[in-house]
Amino acid sequence: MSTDTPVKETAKVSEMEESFLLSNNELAGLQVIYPGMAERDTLNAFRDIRTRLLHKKPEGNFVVMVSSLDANASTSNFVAMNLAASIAMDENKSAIYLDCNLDAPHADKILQKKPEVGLTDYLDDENIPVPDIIFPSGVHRLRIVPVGNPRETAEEQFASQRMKQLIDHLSERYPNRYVVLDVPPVGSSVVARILAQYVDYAVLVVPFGKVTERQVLSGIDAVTRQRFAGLVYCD
Amino acid sequence: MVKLHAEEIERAKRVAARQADLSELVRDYDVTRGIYEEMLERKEKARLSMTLDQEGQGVSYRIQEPAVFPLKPSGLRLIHFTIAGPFIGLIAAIALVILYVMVDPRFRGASIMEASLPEDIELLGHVTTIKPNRERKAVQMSLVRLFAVAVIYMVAYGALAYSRASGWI
Repeated sequence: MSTDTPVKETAKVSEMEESFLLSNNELAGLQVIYPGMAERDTLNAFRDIRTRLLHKKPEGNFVVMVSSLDANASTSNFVAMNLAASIAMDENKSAIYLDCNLDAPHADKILQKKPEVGLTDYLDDENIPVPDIIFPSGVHRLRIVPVGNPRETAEEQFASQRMKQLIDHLSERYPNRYVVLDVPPVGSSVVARILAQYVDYAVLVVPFGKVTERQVLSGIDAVTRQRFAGLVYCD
Repeated sequence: MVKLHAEEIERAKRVAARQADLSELVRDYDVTRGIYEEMLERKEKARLSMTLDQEGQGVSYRIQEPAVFPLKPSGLRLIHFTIAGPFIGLIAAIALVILYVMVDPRFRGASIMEASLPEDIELLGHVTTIKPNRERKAVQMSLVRLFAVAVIYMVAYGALAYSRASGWI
């Protein structure tokens, strides 16, 4: 698949082929940021978050997971997708959005149709190669891995070696591809705790008027202090 | 001589009896005369005041303010409660919301959150969700509906209060 052809040189990232691109109106409808949008504060806030994360690791790419501190995954969907989009705004960087929300898949909304295979299928079936689950998002330099078909053992699959290998593969294949994992809420799902082991940074989202100090502290404990990168307040 | 003496005694007794009768009659006469004179005096006074009254020279009274039954209570009335009601209701609702926000431990602001959390917890940023036009319009519509309902209620309340104050109901 052309979407995952190796690009060795940094300069070539900007030449990544896009099979289709979403218009600004479509992006706004999908709540995805784009340069020159009307909500400048939101755009600048995401650029600022991206820059702060990049400062934490000046050399090479990183894997970051985004999880919401309340039971609703919609704010983490928003923050994760736009964090990936803001990284991809840099012409020398690309981003890949990995949807891990088993109950409420977000990538399907961006792709506008349910893909045949996704993350859970890849973890379950060794015959599926990585490129098959990577889809173009319609945003420059941003790729999407949808969550895939529902499986009973999906949560356990996230703890498998194959998941770790996938994340390593995605981050190691291109030195300037940043991996963003959108994981279910840290307080109500074990997935966030499992995936925190495989990532470099964990970003926790605090939605307006939903989260107490105790929830913040226990969320940080769940993803471990060492991986916790910071909070994003979302209203 | 004896006969004469007996006649004299008899006469003396008669004189004493007549004396008693006389004093009794004199007393009655005095009382009656007293009553008569008093009556006469009062008649004279009455006649005098009647004459003065007719001539308009007597004591006359002018009514400054006729005595009436109190129709309004002196304290707070229904109209005061009617006017104060909506304001107190509005203030009470706002006060309850403020109280709820103050008591509720959940974070309602990035700066509040940053101030109350330990310093080593970094706040990477503060983002605002992008509301799709459809959602924004729905919010606007619900606000318009809320405003319309509030106006309808206030008009109904005002009409009710006015008709109550006018005594129609």
